[in-house]
Amino acid sequence: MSCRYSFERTEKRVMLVNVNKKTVISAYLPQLLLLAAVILFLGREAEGFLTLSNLRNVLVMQVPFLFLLSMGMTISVVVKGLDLSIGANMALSSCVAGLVIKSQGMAAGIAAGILAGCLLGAVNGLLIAKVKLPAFIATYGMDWIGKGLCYVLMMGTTAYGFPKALRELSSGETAGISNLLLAAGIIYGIYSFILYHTVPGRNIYAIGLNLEGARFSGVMADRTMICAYIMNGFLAAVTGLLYIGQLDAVDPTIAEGWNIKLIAAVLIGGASMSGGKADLNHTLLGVLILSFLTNGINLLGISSLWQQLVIGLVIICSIFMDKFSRLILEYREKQNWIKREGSL
Amino acid sequence: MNGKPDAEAAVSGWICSWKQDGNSGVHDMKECQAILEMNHIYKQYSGITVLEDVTFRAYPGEVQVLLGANGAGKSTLMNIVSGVTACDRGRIYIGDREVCIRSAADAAREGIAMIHQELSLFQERSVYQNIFMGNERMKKNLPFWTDSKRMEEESRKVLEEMGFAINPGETVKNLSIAQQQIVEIAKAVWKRADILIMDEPTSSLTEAEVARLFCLIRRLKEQGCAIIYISHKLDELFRIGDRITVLFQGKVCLEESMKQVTKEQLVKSMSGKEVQRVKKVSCALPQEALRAVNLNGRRFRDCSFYVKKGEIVALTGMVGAGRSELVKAIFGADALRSGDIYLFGKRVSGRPSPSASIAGRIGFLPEERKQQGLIMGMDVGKNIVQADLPRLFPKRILSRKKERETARTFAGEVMYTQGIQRLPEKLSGGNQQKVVLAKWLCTDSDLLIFDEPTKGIDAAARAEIYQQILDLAGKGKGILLVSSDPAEVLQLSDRVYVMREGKICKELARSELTANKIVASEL
Repeated sequence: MSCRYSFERTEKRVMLVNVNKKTVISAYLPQLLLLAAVILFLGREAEGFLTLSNLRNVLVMQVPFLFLLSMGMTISVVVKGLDLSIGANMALSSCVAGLVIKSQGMAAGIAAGILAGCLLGAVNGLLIAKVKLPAFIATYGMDWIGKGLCYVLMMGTTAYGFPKALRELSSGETAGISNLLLAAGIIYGIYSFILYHTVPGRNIYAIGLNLEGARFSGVMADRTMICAYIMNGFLAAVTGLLYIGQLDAVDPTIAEGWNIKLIAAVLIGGASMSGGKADLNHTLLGVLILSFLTNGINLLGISSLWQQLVIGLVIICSIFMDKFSRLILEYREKQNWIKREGSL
Repeated sequence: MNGKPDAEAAVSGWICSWKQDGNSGVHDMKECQAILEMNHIYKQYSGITVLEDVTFRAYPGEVQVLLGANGAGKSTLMNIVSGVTACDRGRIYIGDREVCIRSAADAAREGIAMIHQELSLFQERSVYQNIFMGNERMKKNLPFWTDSKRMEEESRKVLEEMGFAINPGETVKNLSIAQQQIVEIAKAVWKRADILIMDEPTSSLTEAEVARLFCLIRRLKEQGCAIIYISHKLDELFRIGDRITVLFQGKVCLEESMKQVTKEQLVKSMSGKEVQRVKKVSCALPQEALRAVNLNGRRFRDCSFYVKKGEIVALTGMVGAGRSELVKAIFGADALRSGDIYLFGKRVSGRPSPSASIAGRIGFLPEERKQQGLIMGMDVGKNIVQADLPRLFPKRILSRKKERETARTFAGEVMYTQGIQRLPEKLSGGNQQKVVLAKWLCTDSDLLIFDEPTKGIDAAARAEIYQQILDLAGKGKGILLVSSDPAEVLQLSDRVYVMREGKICKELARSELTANKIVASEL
C-alpha cells in the first residue's frame, strides 16, 4: 500500500511542473532534476563551486570536448551500437593532423586530420553494416588499431610547438565567446538539424529502432549506417584538432580512457541501448551532470578513489529516474486517452 | 499454501460481498462437473477494466472455444489461468477445490499447460532439449548430469504419438515455423496436463497439418483432457469446438454449445456489429502490372506468373512452399538468383532492392508486421510517410507540417482513426495493418503485395481490410496476395497460383475455384 501512495504523490509533483501539458519538459525532467540536485548539493557543500571562474572552467574548458565526443557516442547508440573507438579516433586524427601541420602547413593538416577521422568512422561503419560485425567488437578492434597506428606514426615521440593560428582556434575568443564553446555550439546546431530535420537523420533513427523494418521501407540501411559512423568520426577529428590547439602538443596517449566517460554521459542522459532512443539534448544534460560532478568531487577534496564509485551511482540513479518517469508518462497518456475516448 | 489465508484476510473487506456468488458458482459446477471454473473474474490494468464479471468454465473431454476480437480480454483471462498475472477479484476452482494461481509453476502443479501464440523456443537448442526445458531428466546415479538419451527417446515417443515426424535431435532453428509450432505443442502435451490452453495454434499451420493437430486434439479429448481453444478462424472452431464462450470488451456476451450457434451469430456477437461479406466483381484491366519469368531463389525455382492491373492474384500453398520468399525476392528484400521481372511492361534492370522497388511503385505488406512492416517506437505518422520520404522531400529537408498533413490524409484513406501520434506497438493488429497499408498508399504504389494480410486480425478488422483490397483493385492497382486461408483466397482472388516445394504447380481461374481444389493442389 505504501508503495502505491508514493507513486501517486510523485505523479502529482510531475503534474505541477508540467503545466499546459507540455511533454517537452517532462521528457527531460529526470535529467533536469538530477542536474538541479547536483548543482544545489555542490553549491552548498563544495567551496568555490558556484564561483564564476570555476563554472567558466567547467563550461568552457571541459564540457565542449566531452560534449562533442558524446554527440558521436549518441549517434552510435541511436543506431543500436556502441563506439569504443572514439578515443582512439580522436588520438589518431590529432596525430595525423599534427604531423601534416608540421610538414605541409595548417590547412593541409586540418584537412588530413578530418579525413583520417572520417575514414576511421567509415571503416567502423563498413565493418558493422557490410561485414555484419557487432558494433561492440568492430569498434573495440578499431580502438586498438587506431591507437596502434598513433604509436607507429609518432614513432614513440611527442610533437609540439604548433602555429599560433591553431592555438588561437581553440583558446581564442570570438565576440566575447570562447571559440571552443562556439565550435561545440555550432556543431551541435548542425548535428541537431541533420538528425531531426532531414531525411538521413530520420533514417538513422529508423535503422536504430528497427533495421529490418527500415530496410523494408526502402531505407538504404547499409549506407545510412556508414553515414552515421562517418558523422561520428568527423566529431572525433574536430575534437582532436581543438584538443591539440589547447595542448599545443600531440602524443598517442591523448584521450586515453575517455570512451568510458562518454558512455557514462550518454547513459546519464537517459539513452536506451536498445537503439533509436537517445538524442543530443539528453546527452547535453548528461555531459553537464557528469562534468559538474567530477569537478565537484575534486573541489570537495574527496579522494579521486571515490570518483568512479559516485559516477556509477549517478548512472544507476539516472536510469532509475528515467524508467520511473517513463512509467508515469505512460500512465498519464493512458488516463488522457480514457478521458478522451471513454475506453481503450 | 501458507500465504493463502493472509491474502484472503487482506482482501476480506470486499470478498464478503462476493462470497455468496462464489457459493452459487460451486453449486453450478457440481451440476455439470467442470474441471476448471473461473467465477466473476475482474481485472484492471492501470485503471482500465479489461475483464468485468467474467465467468468461464472448461469441461473434461471437451473443447471449450474462447472467441473475441483483439483486445476483448481473451489473453488476459488465459494469463490469469496460467499464472502470468493475477486477477483483482474472483475465484478459480479446479475440480471442486478453490485454487490460488500465482505463478506459472502453480499453474503447472494444477495441471494447466498453455501453448502461447508466439513461439518461445530456444532456437539454438535441439527439439528434445526444448521439450524438456526446465524438467530435464537426470541420470540416476550422477547428480547434475542430464540424461540426453532418455529425453531424446521420450521426445520421439511423444512426437510419434502426436503423429508428426520430427527428429528430436534436430536444432530448432533448422525447423520450419509450422514444425516449431508443433514442438511448442509437444512441450505441453508431454506434461499430460488436465487443462490445455491453445492460443491460435494453427496460425502458421497448413490445412494438412491442421487436420493432424485436430486428430491429436480429439485423442486428448478421449483421454479426458479439457482443452481451451483460442482462434480467429471460425471454420476451425466449428470443426473442433464443443462449447463456445465469446468475449466482447471484457464481458461474456455469448456462452453456448457449438452446435447451437451459427457463424453469423458469432461474428455479430464478437464485433458488436454485422460484418458483411464482401462481394467480388473482377475489375482486371488488360495491361500487366507485374510479370515474373523463370525466377530462381533461395526456396523457389522457375517461377513464372503475371498480375494484371486491377486484378487480385492469390499465391497459395503450404507453409514453407516458398511463397513468402518469392514475393520478398520480387520486392528486393530476399535473394533472387536469376530470372526477369517486368514492372508495368518494363524490364527491371539490376538487382531488385526495396528502395528501387518503392521507386518503381511496388508496395509490400509483410507477414511479420511488427518486425518488417512497421518501425516500433516511431509514431504512426512517421511510419506512414517513412517509405515516401525521398519523394515527399526531394531536398532531403523535412517539414513537420507537410509530413503530418500527408500522414493524416492517408490515415483517413484507410479509415485509421486512432490519431497519428500514437505509437504502433499500442495498436491492435487490425489498426497496425491499416498503418502499413497507409504507408504504401502514401508512396502511390500501383502493385501491392500482401503477405498474409489478416494474420492475427479479428473478424471485423479483417472484413475492413478485405474491402480495402477490393477497392484498391477497383482503382486499377495490381494485387498479389499471399495467403494460407482458403476462405480468404476464395473471397478475394480473381486468379490463383498454387505453389508446392518452391514451384508454381497450378493456376486456377476464379470460375474453377473451390476450397477443396485449392487444398487438393497444395498437397
